[in-house]
Amino acid sequence: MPAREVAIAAYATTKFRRSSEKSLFESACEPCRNILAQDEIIRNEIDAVLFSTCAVEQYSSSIISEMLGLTPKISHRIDNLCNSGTNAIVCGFSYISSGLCDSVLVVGAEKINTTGGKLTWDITRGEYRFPVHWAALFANAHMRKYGTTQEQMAMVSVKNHSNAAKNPAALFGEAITYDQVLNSRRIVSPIKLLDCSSLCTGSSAILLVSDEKARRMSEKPIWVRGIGQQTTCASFSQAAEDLTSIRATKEAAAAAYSMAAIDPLSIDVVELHDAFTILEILAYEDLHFAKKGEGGKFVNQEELAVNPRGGLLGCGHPIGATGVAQAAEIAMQLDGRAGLRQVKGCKTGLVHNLAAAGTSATVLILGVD
Amino acid sequence: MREFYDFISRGEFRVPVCKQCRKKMWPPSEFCCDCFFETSLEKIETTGTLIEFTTSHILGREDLYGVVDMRGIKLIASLSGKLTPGMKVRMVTCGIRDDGCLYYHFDHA
Repeated sequence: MPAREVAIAAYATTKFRRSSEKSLFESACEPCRNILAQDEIIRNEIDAVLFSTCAVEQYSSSIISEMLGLTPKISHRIDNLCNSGTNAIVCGFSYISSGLCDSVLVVGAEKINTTGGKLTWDITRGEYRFPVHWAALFANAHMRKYGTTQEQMAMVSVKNHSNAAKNPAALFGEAITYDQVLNSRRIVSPIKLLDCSSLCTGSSAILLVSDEKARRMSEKPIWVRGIGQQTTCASFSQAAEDLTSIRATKEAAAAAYSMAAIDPLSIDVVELHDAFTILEILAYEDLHFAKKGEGGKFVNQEELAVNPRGGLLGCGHPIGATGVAQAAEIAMQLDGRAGLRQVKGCKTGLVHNLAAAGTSATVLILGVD
Repeated sequence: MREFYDFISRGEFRVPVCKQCRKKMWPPSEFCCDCFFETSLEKIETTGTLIEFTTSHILGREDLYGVVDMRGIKLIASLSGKLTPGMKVRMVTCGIRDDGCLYYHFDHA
């Protein structure tokens, strides 16, 4: 158990869009304004502001703090590609757990034209720099070894777009059909257009607080009970040991389950990283919800609620905001405030996020008493 | 690792090898990540095993490509010929495009 318990006291996510006239900073402030307006006392008690983004703007976290009228002790940004938001939450957790802070505002924001969408630094990928290029290799390997089908991958997209249709913040507001996915344009075999998430503009924020503050602010605090984070490498060359699983996810999951002292069967609701449909199938296996090789068959199960907000496929993928929005969704589910997409009776939820061909991954386990 | 780029720009694939423990560093590095000793570029046997492959349909990047493992040096390369995972392949060309992007091309060994 951590030195001090940490809870999510508030959360807010803006509508994800293709583009917005708002600046990155204005976009980042939007969910924070919603949170700070909920409790005047909290505004004066923010000890740290952590900004998750892949954008290049300098001194961004301090600029956001100033815009919000905050004077935190600690203010800095976290950039770790798609995993930035969950990394920022881990960082905020640590500040509180260590006693350095009592309240940490974690905000993620991204514009659609972010530099995070193309990996130019990894020369081991040669000319194949788009994320879809590595994802397609994983998909082919899983299909070849375990018989996973394009139809099973299509079902992931159908499910997540259907969930997103119940989420007013999602980029995509309409359900799609199985045939639409299968007949969508080929991008990199076997991945089609509707097997892919879309980069977009969006922001999300959560407020992490110490146990004393959490009990003061809520009758039902949402506790951060488990954290696992693993960086295995940066380059694709090092990640390509086994193209049918993501080692960083497996190691992060083992650490998170151990810290929370639970097993995968205890999880009621999950937000997992589905930038491509094959990644949801791999995550079923790497998070131990499905046996190795049976992720494709797991898509149709109804026992576990997976990506109720719509995942990255249905919500869009504003890179720095994604991990924060995933955690905000699980907090909302555990809070019982998810409206049309509420998962009934959920008490324990899991957030899974990863970056750059699965070279780093984070797993968070949240729960209510 | 400017020397690595100098060689590959001339179509020569060389890999940094630790002067002390002989570990091959990939991606290239001027020092060894095991013993932190200096590396020097050496020619290596540029044949390897095709791990997995597929077809890109992205405009301007429509081709066969895959992961090749040259005894621990793995990279993504364009490919030609009839392909099967596990087959032996050989690097036939490499270089740097005008946009600064590195490329590697493999064919049957």
